[in-house]
Amino acid sequence: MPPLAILLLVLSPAAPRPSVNDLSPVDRQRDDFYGAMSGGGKVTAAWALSSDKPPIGSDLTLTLTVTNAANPHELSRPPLADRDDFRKLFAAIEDIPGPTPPPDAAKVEFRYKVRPRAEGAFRLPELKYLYYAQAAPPDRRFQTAFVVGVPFTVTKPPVSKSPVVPLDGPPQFFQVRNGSIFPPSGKPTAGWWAGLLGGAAVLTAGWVVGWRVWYPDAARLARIRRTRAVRVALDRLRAAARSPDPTAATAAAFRRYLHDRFGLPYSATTPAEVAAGLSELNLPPDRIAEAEELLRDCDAVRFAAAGDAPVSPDEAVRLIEQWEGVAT
Amino acid sequence: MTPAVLVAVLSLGQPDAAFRDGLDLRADAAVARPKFVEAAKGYDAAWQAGERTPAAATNRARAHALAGDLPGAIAAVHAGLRLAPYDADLLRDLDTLRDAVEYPQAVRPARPGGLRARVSPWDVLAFAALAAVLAGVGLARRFTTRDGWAVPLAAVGGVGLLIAAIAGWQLAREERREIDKPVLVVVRDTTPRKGNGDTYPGLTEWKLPRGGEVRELHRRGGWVQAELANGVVGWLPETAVIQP
Repeated sequence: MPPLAILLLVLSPAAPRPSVNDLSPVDRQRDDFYGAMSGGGKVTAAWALSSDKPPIGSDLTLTLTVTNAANPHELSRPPLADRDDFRKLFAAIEDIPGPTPPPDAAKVEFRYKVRPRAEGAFRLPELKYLYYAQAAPPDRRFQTAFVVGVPFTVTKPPVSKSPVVPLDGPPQFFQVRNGSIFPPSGKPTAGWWAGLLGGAAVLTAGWVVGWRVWYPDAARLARIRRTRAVRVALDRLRAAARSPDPTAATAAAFRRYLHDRFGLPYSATTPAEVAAGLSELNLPPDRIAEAEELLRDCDAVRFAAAGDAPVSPDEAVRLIEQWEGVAT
Repeated sequence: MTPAVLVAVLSLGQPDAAFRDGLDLRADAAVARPKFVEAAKGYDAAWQAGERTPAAATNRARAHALAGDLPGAIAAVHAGLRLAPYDADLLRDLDTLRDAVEYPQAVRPARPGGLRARVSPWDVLAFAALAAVLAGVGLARRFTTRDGWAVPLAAVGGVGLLIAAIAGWQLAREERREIDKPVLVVVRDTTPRKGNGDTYPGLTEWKLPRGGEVRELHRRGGWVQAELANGVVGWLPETAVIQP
């Protein structure tokens, strides 16, 4: 070779290293393609197991070695844990992370920790490993390097001579929980809620209706207790019967009723003053006469000699019922 | 009662018996563990057959935990909490199991909160029943003997019913939130990714630990979009998670 040609060859820029980023997103997503690019030669891949006769229950290191990739630093790890054929063979598959290889590395190794499921003779599943050969014709640029399966035999576990270790755990985990009726599991249905509200409404209505049927007198009294003045007067008259001076208590309760119900001035205390006050309020004369007579009877008993029969509070109750329009 | 439930009820003693055998043998973990594996399988079968109570869920979770299946135990607790979110034993077991998961910072889920974790719907029903009785008695007395305390009593009952209605509404709201984002349990250390494929970059520098919990948002092409406890959303392979 002439010296000039050698000089030109030395000075010419090196061809750029192929990168997976040169591919379209669709090509990059192709099944079984993990980013390997060929720099001209064939990319190869192979399995290696840390032991070909592992005992059951032990962990093995499975190594996938990829050689001759032009972009070793860009290769991604095949996800063996997501593959059914590997999961059938191994109960546990975990990635063993390793350092990212330099761009000029001759080979890349991916390590996995695996634990065989069962005893017997097996063969590692074959792995289809696609790589991209830029120099090949356009329709044959994706080429396949099959990773040939490796046979191995899972043997019986070795006789354990390890010391007996007790099972450790939180204390409550070593108790069987017994079922209880309360609280019931699940949740109340709409029927429970409807039954509750409907039942409460029906029982309340039944109570009111039943009470009115069974206690008609009480129902009548209830009607006149509609106003606070009447309610207070009736409560006081009921208490008057048990008081040491029933007549005075009856007169006081009746006067209070007249004050609260009709607005009679509190200054009106004597029978005559009450009658005058009620007249100013335009009440019917017969009612005024009855009220005045009741109060006079009370005064007569209170200021008469001892031994006169007291005025019954029932007389005042009768008047109130009559005035409130519920007398029988 | 369906035949499956009948079979499960008749065989209910079996997982309990295996569990008790495991307790008797706990001095040697290698001998006891297979008994708990057997018990866990029995509880799983009974659960699938419809024998679902908080006690069954608790025993199922404990059997899985003692068998060495941490994700299965956490999933069993969540299955029980879906049934009885207020159950104190299940909540305590969930806390204990979470302690065994090597969570990275800020990814450990918070303890279940809200009204559902404190009050049972039956509690609300009992409270509503009491309020209805007060309201009913108050109204009945108001329309019969017209006692002075009748109206206040009815008002107390009415307020009680209103509180029960609000509590019921809140429970339904919290249950809906739980259904919209169901819990998934991670069965192996997994890196959440930014998209639904292995070629997408990892979302975090750390892996979600085995037994970790996430909330499911969507599924697509064998992948689950999941929300972590810190609010970050990523994708996990469907094979890496189980649903309680």
